[in-house]
Amino acid sequence: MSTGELGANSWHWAGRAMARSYSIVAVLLLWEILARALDNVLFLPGIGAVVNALGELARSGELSTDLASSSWRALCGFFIASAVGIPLGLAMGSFARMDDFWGNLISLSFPIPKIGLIPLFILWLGIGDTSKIAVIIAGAIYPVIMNTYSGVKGTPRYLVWSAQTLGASTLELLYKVILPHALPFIFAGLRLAMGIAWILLFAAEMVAATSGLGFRILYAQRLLDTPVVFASLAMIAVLGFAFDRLLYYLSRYACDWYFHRNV
Amino acid sequence: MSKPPGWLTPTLLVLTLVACFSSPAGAQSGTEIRMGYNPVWSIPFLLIGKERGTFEAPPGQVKWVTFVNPNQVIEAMAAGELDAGGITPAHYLIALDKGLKMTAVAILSGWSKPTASYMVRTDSGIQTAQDLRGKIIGVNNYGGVFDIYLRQMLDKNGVDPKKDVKIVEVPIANIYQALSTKQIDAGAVPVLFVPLAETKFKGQFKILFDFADVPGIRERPQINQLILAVTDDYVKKHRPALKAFLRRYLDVVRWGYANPAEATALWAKASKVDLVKALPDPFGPNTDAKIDVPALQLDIEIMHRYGYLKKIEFGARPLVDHSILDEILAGR
Repeated sequence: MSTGELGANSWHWAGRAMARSYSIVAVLLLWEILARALDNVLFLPGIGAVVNALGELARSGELSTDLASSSWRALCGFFIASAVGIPLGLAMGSFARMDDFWGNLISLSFPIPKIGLIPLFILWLGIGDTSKIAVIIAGAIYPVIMNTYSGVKGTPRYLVWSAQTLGASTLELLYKVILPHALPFIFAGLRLAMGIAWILLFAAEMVAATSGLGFRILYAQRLLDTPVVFASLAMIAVLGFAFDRLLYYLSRYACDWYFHRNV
Repeated sequence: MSKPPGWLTPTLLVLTLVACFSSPAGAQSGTEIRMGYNPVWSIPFLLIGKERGTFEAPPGQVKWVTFVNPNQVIEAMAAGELDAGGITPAHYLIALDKGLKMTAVAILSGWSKPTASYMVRTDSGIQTAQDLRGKIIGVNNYGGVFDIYLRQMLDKNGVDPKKDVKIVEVPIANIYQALSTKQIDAGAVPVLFVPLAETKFKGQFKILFDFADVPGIRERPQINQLILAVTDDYVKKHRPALKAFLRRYLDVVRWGYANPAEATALWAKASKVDLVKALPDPFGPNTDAKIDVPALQLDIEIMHRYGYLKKIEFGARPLVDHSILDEILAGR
């Protein structure tokens, strides 16, 4: 690619990035206008107050502790959910007996609100990180299983037949035909799981935690410190966004064929 | 399928908006007092009056709204959804610190026997407050009265509440469970739950210390466990109704002290906690429903020390407003 083409590409991406930021800028503007109109920090702090609160948390070292604690719990839960959910979804989609055994169990347990399991997990697993990670796993595993399953089931039969005709073993079929086809669906499930992990983390950290963004929100709420509530929510949003983008770009890299084939 | 008529979508939108913005549950009727409370909180005379139907007639008739913790009462008052509620002095002071317009007008509970206590397992080896070093302690609410008196007790016994212990928030209903399963080493328990240690958990737990052991607090003739806060707006617009309510409340207080057995029976019925009847001294000293101001000032000092309050003065506004009670007591 020539320098001119590189330059043109850079402008194009910058332009796209700006176009996608308009909505966020608009929301921030609206927030600031409303905050100034209300003029009540308790109800709606302005962006300045939230940034100040973030600065205070950073200066005191609490922000880094909270970020580390929350990220650790969310990512642990997410990775374990993925490590269990993907193979299970693959197995359910590929083998009728696995589907027969797990299908109804998953359908029955999926609607149970995982936030409602928090007291049980605390009773069984204690008030430490284990119960919090367990809650995240319990919620995040479902989109991974279901999306993986859909991806497997969506593999065109002719691809399977062709592979079988060419002498592919069951393992080769799974690894070289089904899994690659299911990969875009798996990534979609992972992105959903990541979002759910952050939502459940917040709820889990509201009971018997001493660090973490969810704890910080609860603590700030007790002291009617709304700017800190907003600051912590903003950090959750930023972290969730960052990890979601990471997964998105990973999926673009791993499933390039899929993105170019479709809209 | 035929297209829906053009007027349907805008009509549905308007109806949705009207439904969203009209809030019959939140609308206040006349001189009604929307009161935040919980039957298991230590608010004996409020509950006794509720059980006797004392607060049903206007003016100043009460509409009861249940909350899980006093913090939510403050939030509802700040949002204009409540006129009054039972809150801890600590939460009241935080509200004043944040500039919320409310005033404490009466005490709801003070000293009692037993008083709120900090429990440990009998087999834990913890004998004194110093033994709590390195332990995990459960309180129901950060910044609440259990939290600040715990910190005061620890501090005065040479234990740094910020560095030497871990204080976690555990709902009151789960405290004994958390203690029993060793998830916490000590837990703060309100008055109504203290007898459960003997009756339900037979000997598993013991009181390590209670409010009567806390330096600075134990010297006070009265403490403010829960107080009645009213929004400034309600006081300004419905002072006669508030006076009528407080007059009836004072009548219940006097009747309760004159008839303790009957009063505790009614309290037990209202709270559905039968053990209330077994409390040796459920009501403590009679201060004619007045808040102990020096105790409140001590709370300010403690909370400021532990970073819960930024201010120790709240401007020209008084900490409490006893003017209505004074009028009633003077026969006006």
